[in-house]
Order: sequence, then structure tokens, then C-alpha cells
Amino acid sequence: MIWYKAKGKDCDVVISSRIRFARNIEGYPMGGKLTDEKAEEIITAVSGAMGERYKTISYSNLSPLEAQSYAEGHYVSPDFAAAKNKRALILGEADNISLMVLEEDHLRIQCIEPGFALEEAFTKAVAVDDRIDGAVKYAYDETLGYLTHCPTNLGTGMRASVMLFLPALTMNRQISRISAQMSKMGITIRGMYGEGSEAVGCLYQISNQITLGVSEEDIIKKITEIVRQTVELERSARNSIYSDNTDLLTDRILRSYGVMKYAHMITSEEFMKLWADVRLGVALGIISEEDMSYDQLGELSVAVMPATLSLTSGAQDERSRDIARAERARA
Amino acid sequence: MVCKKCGKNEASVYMRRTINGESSEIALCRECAESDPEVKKMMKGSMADELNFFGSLFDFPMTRSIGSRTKCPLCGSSYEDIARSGKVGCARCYDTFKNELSSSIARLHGNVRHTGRAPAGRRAEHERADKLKRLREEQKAAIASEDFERAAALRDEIRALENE
Repeated sequence: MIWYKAKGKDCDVVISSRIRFARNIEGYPMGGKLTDEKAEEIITAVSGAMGERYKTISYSNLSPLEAQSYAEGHYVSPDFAAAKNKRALILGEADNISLMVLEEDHLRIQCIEPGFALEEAFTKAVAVDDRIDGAVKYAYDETLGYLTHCPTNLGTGMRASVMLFLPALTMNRQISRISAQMSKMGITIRGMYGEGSEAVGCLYQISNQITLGVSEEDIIKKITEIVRQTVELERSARNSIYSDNTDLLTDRILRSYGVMKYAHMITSEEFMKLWADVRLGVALGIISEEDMSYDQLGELSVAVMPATLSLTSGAQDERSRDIARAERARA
Repeated sequence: MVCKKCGKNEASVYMRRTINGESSEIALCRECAESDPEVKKMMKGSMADELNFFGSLFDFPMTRSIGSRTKCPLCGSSYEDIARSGKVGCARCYDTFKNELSSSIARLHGNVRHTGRAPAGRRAEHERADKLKRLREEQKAAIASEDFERAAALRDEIRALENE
């Protein structure tokens, strides 16, 4: 089940949960110091360890649109998509596993699950980690843990992140207050798209900052607890906004739904605003799940992104992409 | 150490000068170092000057030693390379530049030791180190609470584990 097409636990607030491990192989230089030949050796070793169930995609051979579309599905980072060095994506779509080979580190193992499911994502990522551990020798130190290209990832090399949909806390302007509290605990929250605190689509990512001296279990426990509290805050903020402004909010949500269902052209920024309103409408029961399901909303959020949309519709310029986006939203 | 110039802030920049075989040392805080004409002169045209040295994650080597610079035997990186990019050239760099990197790492993560997963081949070793650490803490607590019998038992256990 592809992560963004599935409805997960606490899906009214939680979009997805992700675990990422940074790993490097002993004896190989990193970053710009790595020759193409050595890069190829690493790709072959990791690809071999993962077996045939996983697809190895050589990134040097992809068109810019294809390269970008994997970033839109969150399988690779935007940096990886735009890089020029020899690199590969190893993809197990059925397991929601993706491996970026030669991103910043030799290896980034990632598992992304729908909804609130950090434990599940962790278990799957660990299985992949163990599998590769049997085939290569990881760079590791007793004191510093897994040795990474950037010292900010030393130790567990693990980043646990949860993507949250926080429209009510955005409307209430509570995000900066929450963010200040989280940063004291070594946790960061940042908007997914757009600049500053006003995240487009009201999407935010919560993740751990510290990786050394804390175990994977403790990191997950801490993030889980903070996410749980944030989910409760968001739900109660939604209830109070809704009960104070029932007509205004209902009107805004149904107007957005109307535009999504009947417009002829929608820009990507406008789409994210409509999408956020409609998703909130579904969560509040203003729009029924029969009319618009969480699965559909998830699928749309990736399908209408510029590169993915251009690939599926053949649209070449912005105007035709806006038309294709509206068409996709109506369907 | 307190800054020698303002006498208020904690010093974070240390400079050693050797003129005709005579060495002198000075310790300054960041603010004083940034405005100090001597430091400016010394940094001018150097690597650290181009690299916005004061904003860097890593400590820059303040002494400009001309001649042999340590290079990592695996990837050939110098410490300047690492300080400039904020990233090591290979895993071996962490060992080669252990002393230079340790304070930056402590600043990032706190003064801590890795805990958590380890590669399969290193797990037993890691568990042993974890257990030793725990036993030593217990031993300290036993001594503090004057439970010498327990402390002696723990000492034997620690010795046995160390000799394994």
C-alpha cells in the first residue's frame, strides 16, 4: 500500500510517520571525495543486498521531471533530486521503503507510513538496516555511534519525523508558541511548504534534533508523546473554532470544495489552500468521507504536484498544468 | 578562562604567537576577538578569513602554522576542509581529527556517548561497554551509601568483565 494513498491512524491530524537512518560504509570517502567508480561499487553492494524485490533506479539516467517526481512523493529529498553526482534510489513501494544511495551520506534508509505509525516505520527500517549490515561494513565508533558525513547526525543517525495537518493551530496562531516549547526539548517543528510559520496546506513536520547519546527507542517515545499532545491540542482548537464560527467555517469549507470540484484552472498554491479546507471539512464531518475520502485527499496531494502532474498529463507549461490540476481534482 | 581584554566574557579564541622563538598566548572572547586588530591582521587572507570563521560550526585552527598540515590518510582532507564545509571527508576523519572535532561535537549534542543500535559485529562489544558503565555507576553509588560489601562485589564483577 503506497503511503500517501492510504488512510492511517489519527488521519484527521497525522498525515505520515517517517524513520530515516544515515549510514556510511567503512573505507570509502564521502561527498565530493568519492570517485564515480567507488560510487558505483557502493550502489552495486547496496542494491545486491536488497535483492530483486526492490527496484534500483539510477538517478543519473532520469529526466529532471522524473527525478523531481520522486521528491514529490517524499521518497527522496529535494537535494537528492536536484544533485548531479552519481547516485541511486532503491525503492520498495509496497513496503514504503526507499533508500537514497549517495545522498549526503552513503546511505539513507527511509520508511514512511501513513498516519501515526512511528513504531511500524521503525521496525521496517530496522529490518532493511540489518539486511545491509550483513552485506557491507558500516562506519561506526563506540563513542560516536554511526559515523555520518555531517556531525549533526552522529550517534543513532536516526531522524524520526511525523507530518501533521494543523489548520486550527495555524488559524489560532499557536504554532510559534508550540515551536518554542518544542525547541527546548530538542524537537523541531517546521512548515512543509512555503516560507516561515505560515505553512502552505497547514502541513508541519515534527522531528528530533539530537541523535547522539539518546537511543532510538527514547527518540521515538519522545516524538510520540509530543505528537500525541499536539494532536489533542489541534482537535480541541478545531472544536472551539467550529463551535464559535460554525456558519463562517462551514461556508469557507464548502466554497473551497466547490472550487475544487468545478474550477477549470487551479495553481498549485491555490490547490494546497483548497486541499487544507476540504481536509478540515472531512475531519469535521462537514464533507462526508463518501464524497471525499482521506485516501483520495492523500493521493491528490501528490498527483497534482508539478513534476508528477506533468509526467501523468503531459502538460508542458504552467497554464496547461493548472488546467490538468483542476481536471485531476474534479475526477 | 575569562577574556583577557574585556575581563567579562568566557574566552573562546586562543592565540599563540611565536616571534624569534619567544611564545606568548592570549585568550579572548568572541566579541573582542572579532574587533581585535591583531587577530584581524592574522586572519587576513587566511583560509578562516574567507570562510566566515566566526559563524562556522567548527572551531578554526587559530595558529597559522606554515608547513606540514595533518591530512586524513584515507580521504586526504585537512581540518580546514572540514571546518569549511561543516562535513567530514570520510568516517576516518573523526579519528584523524579527534581532538579538533570533539568540542564541536560536544556543542552540538552535549558531552555524551552513543547509546542505541550498533552494527551486528559490534553489538557484543557495545553491550559490554554499556554494562561496564552501568556497573561503575552502581559501584559509585554503593560507595557513596557506604555499602562496601556491595561495592566490593561490583568491583570483582567489573574486573571480570574487563578481563574478558
